[in-house]
Amino acid sequence: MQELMGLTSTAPALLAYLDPGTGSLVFQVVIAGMMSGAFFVRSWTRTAREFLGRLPRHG
Amino acid sequence: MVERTRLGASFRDPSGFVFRRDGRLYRQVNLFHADDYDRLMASGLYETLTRQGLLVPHVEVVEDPADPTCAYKVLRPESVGFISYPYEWCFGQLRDAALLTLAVQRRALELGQTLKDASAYNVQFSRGKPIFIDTLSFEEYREGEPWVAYQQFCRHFLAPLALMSKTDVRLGRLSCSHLDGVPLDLASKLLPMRSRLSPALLLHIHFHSRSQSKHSGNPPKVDVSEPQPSRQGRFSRRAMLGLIESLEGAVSALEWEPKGTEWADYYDGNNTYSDKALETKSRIIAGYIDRVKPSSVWDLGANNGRFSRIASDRGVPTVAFDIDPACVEANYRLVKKRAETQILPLCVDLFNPSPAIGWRNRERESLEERGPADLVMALALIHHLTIGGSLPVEMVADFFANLGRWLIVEFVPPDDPQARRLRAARTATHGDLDRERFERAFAVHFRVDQREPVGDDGRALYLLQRGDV
Repeated sequence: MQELMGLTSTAPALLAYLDPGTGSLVFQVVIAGMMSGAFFVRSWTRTAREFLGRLPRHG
Repeated sequence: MVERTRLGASFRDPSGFVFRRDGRLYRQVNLFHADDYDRLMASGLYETLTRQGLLVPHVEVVEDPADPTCAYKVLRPESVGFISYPYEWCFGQLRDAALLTLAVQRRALELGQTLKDASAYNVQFSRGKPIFIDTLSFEEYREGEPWVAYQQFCRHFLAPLALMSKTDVRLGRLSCSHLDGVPLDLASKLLPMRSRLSPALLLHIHFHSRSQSKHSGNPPKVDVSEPQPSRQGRFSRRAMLGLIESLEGAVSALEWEPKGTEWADYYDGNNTYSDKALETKSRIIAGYIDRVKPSSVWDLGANNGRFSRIASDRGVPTVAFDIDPACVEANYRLVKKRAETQILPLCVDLFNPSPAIGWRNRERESLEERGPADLVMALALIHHLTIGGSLPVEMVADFFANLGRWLIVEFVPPDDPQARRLRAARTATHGDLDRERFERAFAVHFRVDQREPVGDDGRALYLLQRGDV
């Protein structure tokens, strides 16, 4: 994780009245892939479950 | 000219502010926020959130703005009743407030908007449920940008919840000394090693805190004069949704069970009162409430709200205060189970009631500033204050007179087993509180309206009316 954090040295520029915290912005960019991947997997699992739930049951 | 009715808590966000006029609350929307406000109203987000009970409804009114130099519109929000603060909430209340904030953010994203702040002070409890009160927290969502309120969410919600769940529930009070939430480095230090076994806490608290330390010297690149270029792909929409889902999972996984404290099982495991005495006490209190017909009740030392419900079941807005987080948690769970709308359980230490805090001590009001209530109840409490807390009864009477117009107070005689138990550990007290001294102390502020014995052991209930009412 430390290596990952080192990859991004600059924070995205944002307009905010609240100080979003440089470290917090950088951190989100660092974990973006992880968050995105986890969301994709969970969405896919939900869709698969719904599909399986709609299948007629035999026996 | 800016009127002095502007509330002390409402100044940070340049989008607008809340002001009071003729006893009514209004929210001024500033020109600065006009586009964002119009988007909220036109996109269907306002309608969705208010229909689902997630956002406080308002009406636009023709009313002079408090600061005409920058005014766009004036709104009159629906009243949410008693204003409470995160450091007064039990674990379950803070968790529900956190989940509400994330639910609001999720719906905002669906309609092209995002929360620009995630302060726990943007949530209040109204009609038994948390509700988002800041109508001006919404702005346009620009894909590619991280969530500006991520840090604030972690500090205001996730860190205190994790500390309450994994370290000690009393750490919820840290939010009182840290107005903008618990610093993540502090939370990371205070959390036990095993908290790192939770991937969500490892990520959102421990690693997040480390990232903050690493970049603490680098200010964010903010250029308010130039429009920001799109940063498509840096923090995609899917990443944002993943972040919200991850935070929801982290918050939902945190638990705390209300047990093992001194007062949590008071009515179940205690034999101070027989069933008959409890019944008598309830009947007398009901009679007093029916006589006063109060518009609001504060029950001090309410335990799990057994007697508070005599008022709230009659439709009277009732705040049930207790020092014990387990009692407040048990009370809140009962509120949810019974879908009650008129009772609000809160954690308050009467020996150190919530102070006025923040900028010039005006941002968050003290407990007394949020009063007075129409009726205050102090049942089986006086001996804890006078013996347990070494307070002279005269000071207790003075305190109660500041809190309410009417008072139901239970007299506990000096030879009562509970009073004796409290006195046993003390070498010096302010003297025995006999009935004569008790009545003399309260007569300074109140007149006796009714008095009835609770049983045959000397305990008695008084209905008192403040002399100046």
